[in-house]
Amino acid sequence: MVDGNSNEYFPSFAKKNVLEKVINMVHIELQDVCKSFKGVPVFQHVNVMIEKGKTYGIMGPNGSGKSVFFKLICGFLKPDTGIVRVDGKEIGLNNRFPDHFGIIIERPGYISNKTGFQNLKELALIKNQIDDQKIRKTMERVGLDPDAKQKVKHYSLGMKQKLALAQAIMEDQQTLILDEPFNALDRTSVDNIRQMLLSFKTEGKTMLITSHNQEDIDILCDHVFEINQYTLQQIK
Amino acid sequence: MFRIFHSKLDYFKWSVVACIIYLYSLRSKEYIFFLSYTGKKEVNIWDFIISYFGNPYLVTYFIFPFLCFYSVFYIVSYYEYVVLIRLGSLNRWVYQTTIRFLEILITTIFIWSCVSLILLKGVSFSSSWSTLSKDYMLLTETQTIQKFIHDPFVAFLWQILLLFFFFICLHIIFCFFYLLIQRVRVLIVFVFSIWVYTIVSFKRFPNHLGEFKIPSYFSLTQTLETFRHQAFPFFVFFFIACVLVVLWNRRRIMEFFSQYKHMVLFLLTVFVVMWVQQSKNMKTSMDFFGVVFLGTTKHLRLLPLLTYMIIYVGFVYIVNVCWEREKKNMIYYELIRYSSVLKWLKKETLMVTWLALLYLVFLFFVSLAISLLKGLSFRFFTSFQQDISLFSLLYHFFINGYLQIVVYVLFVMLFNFLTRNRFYGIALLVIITGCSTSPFIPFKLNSLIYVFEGRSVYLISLVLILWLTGIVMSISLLLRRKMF
Repeated sequence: MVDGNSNEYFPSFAKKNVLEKVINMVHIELQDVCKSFKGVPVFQHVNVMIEKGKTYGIMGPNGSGKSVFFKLICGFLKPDTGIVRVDGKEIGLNNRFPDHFGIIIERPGYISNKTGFQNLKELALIKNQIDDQKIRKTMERVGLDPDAKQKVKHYSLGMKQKLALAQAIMEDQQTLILDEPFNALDRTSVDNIRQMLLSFKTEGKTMLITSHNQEDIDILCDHVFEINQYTLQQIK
Repeated sequence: MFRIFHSKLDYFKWSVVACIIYLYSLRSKEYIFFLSYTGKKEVNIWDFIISYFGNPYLVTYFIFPFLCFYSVFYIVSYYEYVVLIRLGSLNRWVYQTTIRFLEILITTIFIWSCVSLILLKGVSFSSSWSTLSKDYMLLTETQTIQKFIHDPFVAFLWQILLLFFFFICLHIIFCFFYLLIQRVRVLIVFVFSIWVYTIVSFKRFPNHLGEFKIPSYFSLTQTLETFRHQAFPFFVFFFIACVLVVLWNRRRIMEFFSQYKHMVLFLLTVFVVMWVQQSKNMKTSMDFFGVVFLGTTKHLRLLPLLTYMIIYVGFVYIVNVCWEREKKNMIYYELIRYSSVLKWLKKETLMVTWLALLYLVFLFFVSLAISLLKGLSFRFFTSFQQDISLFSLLYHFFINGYLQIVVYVLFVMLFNFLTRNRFYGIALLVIITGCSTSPFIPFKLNSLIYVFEGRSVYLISLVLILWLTGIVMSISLLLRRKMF
């Protein structure tokens, strides 16, 4: 039933809906974050909002703090001041890490005398959400042979990188934090991984990627940030 | 690097472990046989089993570094970002590494048991201590233990529990240390220093510094020599666990304290009130328990009455204060959602009854802990009235205590609803509790003096239940007719 005041009521309701939509779209938020190591600042008063379903590129020279930025988002590092929120929940409270994140931050410490499949299996067992078939499929998708008897200690750098990518995506993680995902990959593998990441983009996954290759960033990213003067500046 | 070392060791480690345990245990066996032969005393399996598992040399020089290696290994190898993100929190990381460490600990103890069984071949079985153990020369582990623990099987269980809790506690300390420092080398130096301290304290510390000797916390013989009671190390482990949990959750705990500071201060007051009780002529923990919660059936016994008032009426007052603070701004929003005052009241009463139960458990354990700290013996009977059954004492304390607290809370609630002022309800409760001496009026009925006077605890339960029903009916009637 519509009463006499409905005209006044309706616009505020609509406004509220829009506001809720905006709030729901913000997936990751850094609010006035500062971080330094032994007095050397890495970030000062960083304010960033990451929207759900978008792909972000993070650029910056070596040692500028790209990995630190990712670690702050994941809760592996705590900011000196400021707040990091993922889906509205403050990261670092109760020493919790965000859910459904797939990450490549530094190189994972593999069990070197086990095969790639066995390594992924060990990781998958922690959450026990996927079966062996899913692990095999993921390995094939990144260009690794799941039945190979080759142990990880005999893997090339490129193969290790593919294994790192496989562990980041095998549980259908909805947010991917990928620090230099194309490192050490050959041309064909780069194309293959690019296609895979583009398909994730159409599926609506949120991705944060760092790369020294401008071409990767241009093809994949909706927005690009550059680390400059201890803060993130949006350049796209 | 850790993983490579671990994998190379994997194939041989358990056979090496078994061999080393065998060599140490064989020496123990030879020594016990030598004592038995020279002293012409009979031996049985318990002399050997206890000496195998409580051998401080074996634990200090081999088991300790072996398990520490695995503790460090799991800590370092599980602190990987790809593992952490899947575990979801650092608390789960501590839990996960502890589970893995526990697997190694259980396997070690299993192998230890197998080696012990092999070495027990040809030794006679008995369910009691041997004549060698009963000798007071104090040359073997069992000679000290049998003075404190009468059943050798119980002594064996205590020894196993000590080993378990000691190493788990140690692993958790290492976990928190690593989280604090996050440097593998520093962790290794820390673990190595602890091991060196263990050796030095074992070999060099005099007996009067037993509390500072690490073997006092994993070898039952050393525990009993130092603390005179086998349960003492468990209190230390519990204390360490509490300190670590407090440090780890300090932010949440500070928030909790600021939110419930009335309750925390009240619990501290209760602790102090219990602590200052005289324990001069008491012998057992239950003596202390009986005196603290004695209460009174007469007007003139001021000290028991005051203690009772602080412990029970104080609790009702504090619950009332906390409840009012919490509900002050929310009550109407909650009521509108419950759609019925009775439903809302039921939910609130249920919460209070849970609190009452928790409080009684708290009182019971705190009284036991204080009695132990005051040096009373940990026995479950009252020495000044030995015909009192433990069951009726505990039944009265827990069941009637629970009913009594609920009666108090609802009584105050009833008067709060009637007068719309929280002061009158509590004031009336204090006055009636101070004056009441009848066993049919529901005040002070959970005083333990009723048990010592030989009254039926079931009759008291019945009286309390009848009064409780009456109060609940009055509240529901009142809420239906008067207020809403």
